[in-house]
Amino acid sequence: MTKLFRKMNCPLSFLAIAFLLIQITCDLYIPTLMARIVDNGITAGDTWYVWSQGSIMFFLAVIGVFAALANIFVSARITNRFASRLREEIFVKAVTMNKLNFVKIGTASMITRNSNDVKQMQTLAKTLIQYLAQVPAYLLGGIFLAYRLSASLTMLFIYALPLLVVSAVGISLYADPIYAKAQRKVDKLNQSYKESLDGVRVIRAFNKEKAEYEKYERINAEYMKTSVQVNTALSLLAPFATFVISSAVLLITGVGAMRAADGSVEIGAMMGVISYGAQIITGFTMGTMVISMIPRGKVSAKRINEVLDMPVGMKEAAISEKRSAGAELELSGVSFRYKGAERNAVDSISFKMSAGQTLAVVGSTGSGKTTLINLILRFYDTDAGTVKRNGIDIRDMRFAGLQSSILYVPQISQLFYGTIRENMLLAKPDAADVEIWKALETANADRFVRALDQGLDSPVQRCGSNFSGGQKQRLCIARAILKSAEVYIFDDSFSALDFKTDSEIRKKIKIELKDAVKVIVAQRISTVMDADEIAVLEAGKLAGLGTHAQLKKNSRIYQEIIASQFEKMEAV
Amino acid sequence: MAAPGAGINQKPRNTKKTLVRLSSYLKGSRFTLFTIILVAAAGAVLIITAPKILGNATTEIYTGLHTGNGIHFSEVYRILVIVGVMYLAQFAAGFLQGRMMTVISQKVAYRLRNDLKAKMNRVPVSYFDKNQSGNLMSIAVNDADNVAVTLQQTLAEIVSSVITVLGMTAVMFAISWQLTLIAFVTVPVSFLAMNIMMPKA
Repeated sequence: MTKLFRKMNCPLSFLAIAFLLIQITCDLYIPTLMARIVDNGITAGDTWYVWSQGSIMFFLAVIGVFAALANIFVSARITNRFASRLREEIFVKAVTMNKLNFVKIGTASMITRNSNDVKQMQTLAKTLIQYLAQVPAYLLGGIFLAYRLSASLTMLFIYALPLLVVSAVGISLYADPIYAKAQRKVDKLNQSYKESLDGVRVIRAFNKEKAEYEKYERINAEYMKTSVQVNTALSLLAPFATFVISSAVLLITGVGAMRAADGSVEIGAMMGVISYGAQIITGFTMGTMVISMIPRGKVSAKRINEVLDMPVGMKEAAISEKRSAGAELELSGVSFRYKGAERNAVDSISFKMSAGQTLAVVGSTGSGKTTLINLILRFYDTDAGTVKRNGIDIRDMRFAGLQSSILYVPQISQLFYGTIRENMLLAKPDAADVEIWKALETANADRFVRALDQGLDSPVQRCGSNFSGGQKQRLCIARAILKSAEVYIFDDSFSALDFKTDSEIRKKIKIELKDAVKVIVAQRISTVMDADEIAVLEAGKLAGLGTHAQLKKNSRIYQEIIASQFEKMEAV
Repeated sequence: MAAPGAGINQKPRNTKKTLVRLSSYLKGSRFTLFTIILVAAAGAVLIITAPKILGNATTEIYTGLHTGNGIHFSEVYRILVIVGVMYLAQFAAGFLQGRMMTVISQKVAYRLRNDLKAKMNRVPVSYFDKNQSGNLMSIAVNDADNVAVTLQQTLAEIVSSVITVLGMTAVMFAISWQLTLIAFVTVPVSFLAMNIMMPKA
């Protein structure tokens, strides 16, 4: 937790605390003045003394108020900046971290961490700056000044303190784990809610709303129960502390009466000590408030640190190896296994593609196609074997260089809220309209975009939901082509297109990207037929590598795939 | 890229409607709510009267010393015992109030979350295209929790604050109406200063 707080602006924090100390000094001195007024002024009948001390009291009060306001002002600024800095760091980490690590945390939890937990930290930081310094000041300062007035009476407060500390620590120890449990419940709640948002179409289609709702309600009820438990424990603290100190005040009055009778304590001093009792209560109530927030803060800090401390996962090469221009992609003996999986998702795969060639990857679901792509992109590091580009191991390349020279069109067509132009410019921020139209033409997307009223400025809804599946794929292909790269990877990016459009686009791509290596993952034989090399994957292994004609003759699995699609192809 | 603002406003479009809807969530807990108000009121009365009664003990000591009659210790002890019992009751009221507020506010948040979830099952699918799921989630999880926290902190606070302010004023007038009037002049001034200096959060 302290690690996170170091991110706060230090000089400003001290300024805030300085204002706070001024305020406390003013507050604390007032009962001492009062005791003097009673004992030296009122009892002695000295009106002038009452007035002079009274005006000092007044000025102290005014200074105290202004110092308090200054503290609030400064601490609000510090903590707002602190929160925005945390959010920024989490965001940067989230978008740069290793895919495997991101999956470990999960989108839902990431959202909670970036919103809820940061807010929790901000509140705690604010409370600490505004109140924490007050706690020892009121407690110790109050006791010190009371002690000066009457040592024997003040001892009664001092006896009460251990009792308070023990109860505060005890309650905090009890609440800590429960609060952590509540936070885990929030995550579960979040996850359930997010699942139902993401999968809303499936849930509706299968009429599973009721089951979904009941699942959510159950987690919700658990969370409520845990929350009630932890808050009940915390709500015990402040009343208990007040009760203990108040009892001490009663004792002081009783003992004070006896001392006053034998003349060892003056009545004004006794009243002063009782006033300090009120301030000690204030200090302690604040203390309990801060303490009650610490468990939440600790849990949130831990969850934020988990994200911030997450290793980026892959080590970036210190200096990029020099390499000659041109595109070449070579895999030798590449293997990868997901954590906890029983077999390799990709098992000793080797092939080599040179500039201008097209590699097609086919195979049934779960055969390792997407994993293979992820390895080429270095989303994951291989367990064995190397991926080389132009003869250089990609682990020896800088991330920026690696990413800018490779282009990936994922399975799911990802369009962003905005306009068509904005989506296109993501690939190449300085692209002129002519270039955009050319790319759209290559992807057979120019015609339907031209038909839209606003052309390139037509709106794109969230996830491109205002376009059909085929249109989305074509827009994504166009966006990819717009950027010049050495390797283009199309991960099932032609699946929603009809056969004619599919083959037209591929023909044009072959001409447009003639110097680059193209990797096309596909289900349909017709899509891969004219590739230079076809890699057939089965259970992570390379079951065949060659041209369509060769594989048709030699590869059993390729033959099976052809057979399974034969009827469909006949129908076209 | 521009944020999709459709559908979700930051401020309640209609504060009155929002409050009415929120209070409908409290309906089921009417009895508990009523008890909380009673307990908070009792607690506030105790907070106000206890120092006044304890003050009598101080007065007793002071007069005893200055008139030369000596202190009536039996009277002092009687007062101390009474105040002690009052403090004990105050402790019980404080805890009870905290516990009941927690239960009520968590229940409200629970019902809010359930209703939100049910609503998500009823709105047309196109709603999810217009609203980011992050936004919708933040409403269900964050905002529902904020409602709970705010309720818990404010509801009892409002009741006890109102009673404390009224009661304290009465007691202050009883002790010295002149001093009370002076205090009444300074309070608005300090509020004014607060308003000017407080950062707009």
